[in-house]
Amino acid sequence: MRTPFVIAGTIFRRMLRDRTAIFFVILLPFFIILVIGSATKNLASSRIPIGLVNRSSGALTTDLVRAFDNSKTLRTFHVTSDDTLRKALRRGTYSAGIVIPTDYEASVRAGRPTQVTFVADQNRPPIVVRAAVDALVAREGALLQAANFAASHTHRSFDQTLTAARAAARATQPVGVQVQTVGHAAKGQFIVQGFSYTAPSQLVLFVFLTSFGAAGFVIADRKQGLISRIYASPTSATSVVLGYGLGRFINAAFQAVYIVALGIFIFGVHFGDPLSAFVLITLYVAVSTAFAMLAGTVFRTPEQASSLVPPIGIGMAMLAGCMWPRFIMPLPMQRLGQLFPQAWAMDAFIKLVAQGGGLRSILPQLAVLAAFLVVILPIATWRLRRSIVA
Amino acid sequence: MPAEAIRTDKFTKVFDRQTAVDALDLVVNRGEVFGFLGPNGAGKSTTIRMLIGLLRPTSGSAVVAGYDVRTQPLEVKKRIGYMAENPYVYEKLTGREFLSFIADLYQVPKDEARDRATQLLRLLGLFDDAEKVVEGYSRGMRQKLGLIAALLHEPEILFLDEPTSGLDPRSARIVKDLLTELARRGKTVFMSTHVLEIAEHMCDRVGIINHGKLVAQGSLAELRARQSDADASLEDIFLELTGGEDTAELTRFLAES
Repeated sequence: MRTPFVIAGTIFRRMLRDRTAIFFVILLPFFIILVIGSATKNLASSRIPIGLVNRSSGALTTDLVRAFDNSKTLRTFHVTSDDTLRKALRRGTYSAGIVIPTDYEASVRAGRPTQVTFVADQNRPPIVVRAAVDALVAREGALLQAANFAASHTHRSFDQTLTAARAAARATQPVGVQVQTVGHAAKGQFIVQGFSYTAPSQLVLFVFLTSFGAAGFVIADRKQGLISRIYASPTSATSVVLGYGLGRFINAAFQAVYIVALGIFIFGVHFGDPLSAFVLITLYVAVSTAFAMLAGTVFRTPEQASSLVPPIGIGMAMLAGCMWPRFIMPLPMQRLGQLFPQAWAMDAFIKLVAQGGGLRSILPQLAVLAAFLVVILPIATWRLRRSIVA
Repeated sequence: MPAEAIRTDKFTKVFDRQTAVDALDLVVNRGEVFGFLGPNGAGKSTTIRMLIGLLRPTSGSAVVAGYDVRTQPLEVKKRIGYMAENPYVYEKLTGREFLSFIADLYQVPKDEARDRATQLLRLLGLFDDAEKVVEGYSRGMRQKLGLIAALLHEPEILFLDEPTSGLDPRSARIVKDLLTELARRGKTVFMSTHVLEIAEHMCDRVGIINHGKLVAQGSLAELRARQSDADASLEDIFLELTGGEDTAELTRFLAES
């Protein structure tokens, strides 16, 4: 039983020496996780991005700006001009914009009315942001009104009464609003964002795609006589098939482990319960291997495999939810996606990563993946064996 | 140990109603260099692939190194070495790594495999390139590597498909000498070749196959006797047995023009 390991080891070594394979196994997943993860990273934040143009100056202005900076609901980006702010709003960089007018400081000190401008793209009216900004400005305004009132009825200065008002506000417990929701999110409708989505989804996409693509190597080895050369040695056809299967499994597992390590150590992704993630990834790698072996006997030439594998693999990944959450697609497409193992692996990852689920929660997905394995692997093995023993 | 290295009996292979090898009765004795000749598509490679266990015969039987290829293929494979006409190897491995891989398949101990590989690499002039990856090898270098791989486990019988194709004259000479020496030491060499000059000078006996049927086998002297022409070359005999009408037509045309 040593021979399958000898064959598998050689296949793994060959992959490590192949620059094209290294690009698809190592470099491409890293860059795609980095780019898509970075692009969707802000979506993971609960704070809403806004742009702030400050034309005023002074202590009271600084207080207002600080209030925006310290907001728990708003993430404030300082912008230098109105024009820049409007361009950024049109591009969707910020959900809304705030402009503090030039006369803000003077008007407040003089007790005159003043207005902070709220700017929004008319195509995307941000009701939630407007409410947050209103609340923040109203709170600041209330403090200023209190300070003005105290200053006009005592002998103390406005700055002294404002300091007293702030201290009083800090000492007084605010009246809050507790938000409760009724009902449950639809099954599977959990939006995982940033690297927490891209790392598992790219694992699902790439492990399958590179395994599937490796079918070309199996065909080439078969066509060029390498498999015959091995079979001409005292090696049974079963050992050859086992060796090739094991080799593919090791290559796919290597890529899966690499993406998991990348996710954990570089992008700070938590893959959920370690045992559940291990079982899921192992089963998914086995399914990908089975599909790779099947493709190695279905496609006739390496060229046919290399031209058909990318569109098929990427199309499957799209329908399976590796590019975007499946639940945003029309129902028929969601159903179509469920025909592919990637969809079940993605559902399981979402349960582990977003819902903190354990082994029990992903049992249905594991069962479907196991069913794929039980059906595909014997067919692939039989076809590959038949191609060796003519 | 039987005196015969290879014996086939009504050995037949049919692909989709097309008979590639038709009731082949062949005998190759131990320690002889046997040349298997025939035009393209005559059934040479199919015969070799059946004899080494890569193809299942449709009917008939064959005993190689004392074992039935149909029922004891692994025993046969342990005792034979094989080099295909195009000895494809893993492109991304070095020559040395490929030989180590093949030695592992035959379960040759590591040290023994390394020493034998070094010896054969030196003999065939490939030692300096052994640590380079195979994708940079020329056709001739691959041919030599394939031959070394076939010899690593010291097989009793060598099956070689066009062993000198792609080799420069010096390397071809080394290979011829090597095969002759192996036969002298009791190894059996079964080789197919298009180069009739090689067969004429190297082979103790030849077999000629045409349209899947063995049309002649024996030593050159026996074949000449059968053709009733004591001065006939192997080429004359080959063309006579495999239908030299096209060649005769061409000769006539050239003479008349």
